[in-house]
Amino acid sequence: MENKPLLEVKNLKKYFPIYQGLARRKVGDVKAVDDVSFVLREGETLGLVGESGCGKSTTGRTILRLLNPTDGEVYYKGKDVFNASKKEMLALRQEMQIIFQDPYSSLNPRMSVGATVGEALIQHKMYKKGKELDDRIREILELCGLADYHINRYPHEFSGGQRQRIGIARALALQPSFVVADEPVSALDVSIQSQIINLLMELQEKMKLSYLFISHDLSVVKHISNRVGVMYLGSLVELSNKKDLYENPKHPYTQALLSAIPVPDPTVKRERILLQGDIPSPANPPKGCKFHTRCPYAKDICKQQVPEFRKLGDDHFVACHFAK
Amino acid sequence: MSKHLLEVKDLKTYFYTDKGVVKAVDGVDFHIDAGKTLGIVGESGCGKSITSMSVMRLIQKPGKIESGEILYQGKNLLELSEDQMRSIRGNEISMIFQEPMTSLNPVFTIGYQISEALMLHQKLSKKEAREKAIEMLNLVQIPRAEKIVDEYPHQLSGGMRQRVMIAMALSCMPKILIADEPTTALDVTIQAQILNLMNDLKQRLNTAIMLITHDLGVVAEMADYVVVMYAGKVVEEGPVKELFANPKHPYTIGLLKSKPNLHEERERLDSIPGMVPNPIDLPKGCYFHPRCKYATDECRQGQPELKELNPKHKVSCFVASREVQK
Amino acid sequence: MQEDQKINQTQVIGPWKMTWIHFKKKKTAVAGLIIFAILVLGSTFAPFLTPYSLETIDKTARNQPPSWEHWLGTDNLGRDYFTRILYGGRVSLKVGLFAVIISIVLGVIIGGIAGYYGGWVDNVLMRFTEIVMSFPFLPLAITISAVVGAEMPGEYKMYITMFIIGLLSWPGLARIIRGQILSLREQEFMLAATALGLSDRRKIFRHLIPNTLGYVIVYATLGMASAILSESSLSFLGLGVVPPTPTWGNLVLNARDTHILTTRPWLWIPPGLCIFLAVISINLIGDGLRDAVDPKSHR
Repeated sequence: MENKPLLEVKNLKKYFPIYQGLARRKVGDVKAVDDVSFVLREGETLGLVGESGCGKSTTGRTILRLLNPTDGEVYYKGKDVFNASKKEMLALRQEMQIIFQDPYSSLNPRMSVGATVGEALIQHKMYKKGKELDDRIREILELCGLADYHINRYPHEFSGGQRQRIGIARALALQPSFVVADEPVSALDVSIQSQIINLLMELQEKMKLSYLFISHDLSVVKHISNRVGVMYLGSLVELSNKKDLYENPKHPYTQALLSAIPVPDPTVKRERILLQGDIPSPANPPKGCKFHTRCPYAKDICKQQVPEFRKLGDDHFVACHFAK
Repeated sequence: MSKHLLEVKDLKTYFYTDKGVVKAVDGVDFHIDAGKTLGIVGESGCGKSITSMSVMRLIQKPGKIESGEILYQGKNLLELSEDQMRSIRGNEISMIFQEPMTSLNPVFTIGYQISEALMLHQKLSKKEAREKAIEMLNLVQIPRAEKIVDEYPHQLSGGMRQRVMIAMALSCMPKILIADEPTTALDVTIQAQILNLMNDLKQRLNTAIMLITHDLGVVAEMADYVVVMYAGKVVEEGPVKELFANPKHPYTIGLLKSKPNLHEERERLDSIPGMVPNPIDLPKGCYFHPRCKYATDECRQGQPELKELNPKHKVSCFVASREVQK
Repeated sequence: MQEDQKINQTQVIGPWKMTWIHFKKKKTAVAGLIIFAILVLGSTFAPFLTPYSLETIDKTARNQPPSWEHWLGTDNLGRDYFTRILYGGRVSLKVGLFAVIISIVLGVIIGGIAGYYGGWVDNVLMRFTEIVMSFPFLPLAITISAVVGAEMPGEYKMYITMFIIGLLSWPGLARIIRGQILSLREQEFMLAATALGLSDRRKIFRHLIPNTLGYVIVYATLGMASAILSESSLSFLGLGVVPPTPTWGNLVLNARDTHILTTRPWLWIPPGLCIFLAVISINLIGDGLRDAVDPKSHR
């Protein structure tokens, strides 16, 4: 594994303006992504976890410029993504792809599987319509666990798990190096989830992919990731390698999150850290440390000052005034 | 009187669609005892929700409860008139659902919705019902209950709405609470709160809970007794510790192995190949055999039955039953 | 992979075929289709169904009631009425069809641009649409027809009528298309198209438009019924297609005085009935299509 980062995200911000009234005055912002920075190395999987409203999906989409960033920089293999020209962006898109969560709305119902998977190949002028293209499409479908006679079928004939495979095939047709997987298994049944996770890991090895794996399911993230970042209300609160995060979480939110997961073992004693209250709205986040309203250790400084995302040991970052 | 609070015997609920007959629930037996939690586990399409709707007799066309008995305190609910059934729903057997937003009426206040059942079943006056509603909101740990009682559902978060649903369901002190995927739509930290609340209330009010979910973690935590369903049938059942320690049905084993565990490291997840069968086109023989690595000829031909392996642990599988006989 | 084998064995059912299958299931829709087909075939094959031509005048047989030679009698000039009804159908249906095509073209372009680009473009186009929509249809149509048609020779009246109806009925479709595109834009497959680097052209023509076609067809079908009615009203008022070209609308005109109304019902009931059947059958087809195209109504 090389040490040069494949992807560098610096101070990424994505705000959605809130308008009110007839004149549509801007009254505020939903700070969906609020100053997020991290690095992804080649061949690794970075898991991004958090609950609803934490901004993990928005982060993934903004990195790919599917949403226009409010501020910040993203460098892919050293190239500035946000300032890329149309032509440069097209080339970048061939290398940076995305898999979506909902297998039902992420496929065009009026296009056959073959057309869906092959379209990008034609657009990027990698193939022309013909036998070579068809062969390549079949190859990809097979890689993703689909049969070649599926090429003429339409999405409505497939189950959720199979549709997800089609979505994966579509993303991988261009042979990208970096893939954002946005909750790729959350909408699937448990027994299918494991099939797709295994597939993703296989493909990572075969095609030398790097993943940004976004999910709210900590067990799945632990299985597939090398490093994990925890987000809360638009900010990264903790980032570390898998082992340290799960065995030695330093941020109170991470600790609470890990203890909240129901374990499929009735004999395990649960020491739950129950958080008080609800997740605040990202349109109106608390001042200072955003987590202070629910934190069992909150002190005065937490209500006033935003904690720094500081390094605590080898590759372990935490945004908390008191973590050590 | 039967020793169980609720006993379901050979329940069959079929749906008559123009594509064919869907045997959503195909011969299901289970029971619930007072103050205990029964967990019904399965993936989508296994029939667990339809089972709970059948118990409440909320099945509508084109569905029909074909046959079977649902004995509540000895009385067969399927023989009651609609009026008699109505006096049981919300009163003695209550239900909460997965989506708190669509289960609460957006145009009525929280207080009104909780009071409705109270005024209807317990014959309380408006004032008494409102006070009791505030009491219930406090019971489910909603802060500032006196203010919330006059607010509308859209002003509350998902977790709060689910608490309101629980308050509504428990307001008449039912003997059984049916909870259909109550925390699936909630964030994990909120889920922890709600599950904790449910356990707490169960102990205080001695309510039996029928918990329907696909999450094995939730079942392990909440249930005393577990029933595993697949394609409309019960494939395995038993006390929770026994089932998790000693699963016998290949489907149950597959489910347990395919969920990544926080406390284990594994290279590859075991997955169950194939997909859940199309309910209109069920395979011949054991419904699970196309996905089962232990399938024998016997499995391809006939339907296995629920057999008791150890006391209270039952499995519906030819291969598993034979193993125990050895 | 038993499920997959099954998929291979069943036929490829594209989304269009699915629509047809759902459509066939609705008996009323199929009935509508049959009735409409009869009307269309009748008008198209008019020359084969009647020995008379439109111009044949038999001065000796004027105002005749229905008989063997003249199935629906004759009019006051001695022309065979059945023939006039059949040919009248041609005009009514043609005007209906082309008016709808005009409104589709305008509606799709305006609604499409407004929906795809949004922002001020959307604002301007939609306000314009609303202005056109707020004019009461009939008075405006009458006015335009009276003004423009005053100098026009009779044969062109048909085309004027088509244009008037088409130009006044596109707003409804424009709004529907715009709404569809707005909601489609949020669908993840559109986001996927962007992520794959697909060009705008590809996104519009291969992704957006095919997914709006269903609604376009439904709306167009229903719009045709409306157009036929409008044409009938205009022609009845003498401001649409004028005699000697027959249309169902101006044939109903024959009943303009109470004497004819009461003594010669064969003059006004048949054309009226044809209008009625055309509108009803098209509406039934449109209803059936709407349910067939809308995935939510499928069980």
